[in-house]
Amino acid sequence: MSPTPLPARLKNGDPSAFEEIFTALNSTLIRVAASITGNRATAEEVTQETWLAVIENLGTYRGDAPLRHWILRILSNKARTRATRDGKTEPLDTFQVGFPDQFTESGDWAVAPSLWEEITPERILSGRQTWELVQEEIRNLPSSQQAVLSLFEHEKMSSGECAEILGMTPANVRVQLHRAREKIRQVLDAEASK
Amino acid sequence: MLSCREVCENAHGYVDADISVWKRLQIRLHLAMCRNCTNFIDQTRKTKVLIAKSLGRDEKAEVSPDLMAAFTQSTKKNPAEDPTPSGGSGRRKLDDT
Repeated sequence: MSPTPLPARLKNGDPSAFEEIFTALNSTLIRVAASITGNRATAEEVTQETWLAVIENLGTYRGDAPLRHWILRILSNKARTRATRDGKTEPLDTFQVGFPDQFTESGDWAVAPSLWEEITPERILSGRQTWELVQEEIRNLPSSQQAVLSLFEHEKMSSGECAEILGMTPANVRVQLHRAREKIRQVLDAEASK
Repeated sequence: MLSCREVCENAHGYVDADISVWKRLQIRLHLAMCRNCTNFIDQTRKTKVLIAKSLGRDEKAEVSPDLMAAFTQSTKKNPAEDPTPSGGSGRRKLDDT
């Protein structure tokens, strides 16, 4: 017999199902809300309101979209309403990551990229496991880039779906995604070369 | 043929399979002859994987007792509905306030 799907368990009032979805999604919700409202404390409030709305409206969920996407859409609407009401929107960052000094004028590599051997999540870099280093670098990114990474890399949404949730264009989502990833690649490369 | 700089600029689109078929073929042709760009694409791909794994290890938040109480009370009040079209939920519509 196949296990009962999560939405059905939630509708049946299974507390472990609520814990499961909360644990899996809460940090993504806070990141997305912070990106939209530009304020971490507001983001936490909006996230709490979102969970209450999810509880209240579980009966209206019909399964047309994945449950996680349905919840993210509720959050997005609430965060945008709140940002408009508070008159706050975080401008898209101007944080640039280029490829300075890596290429000659003819477009060839000036400094050859190294081969990352045995870079695994558990490898120790600067006294921490690689995944801890990456987590810290993600926390240092602008909130819009953190949100894009969460939705694209963790929730496996398309750039179009990310754009819908975050109120950006798909092209802008890709720019934010590439900048975020490139910033982290550069940090890892510097650590791997030590 | 694409320069190394052009391959580098398209590396993220390449690992996401989010570029045109033509551009993808041009990059593959370049990679067949360029170890440096192959290393760079490998770094980009590993970075993508590490980010996903790191996000998956975020500190797990716990449901507050108040929120869990709201969940259990709500589902007691509104048990799972009849899935047939005639089985109305009687719940209010989502609002954004």
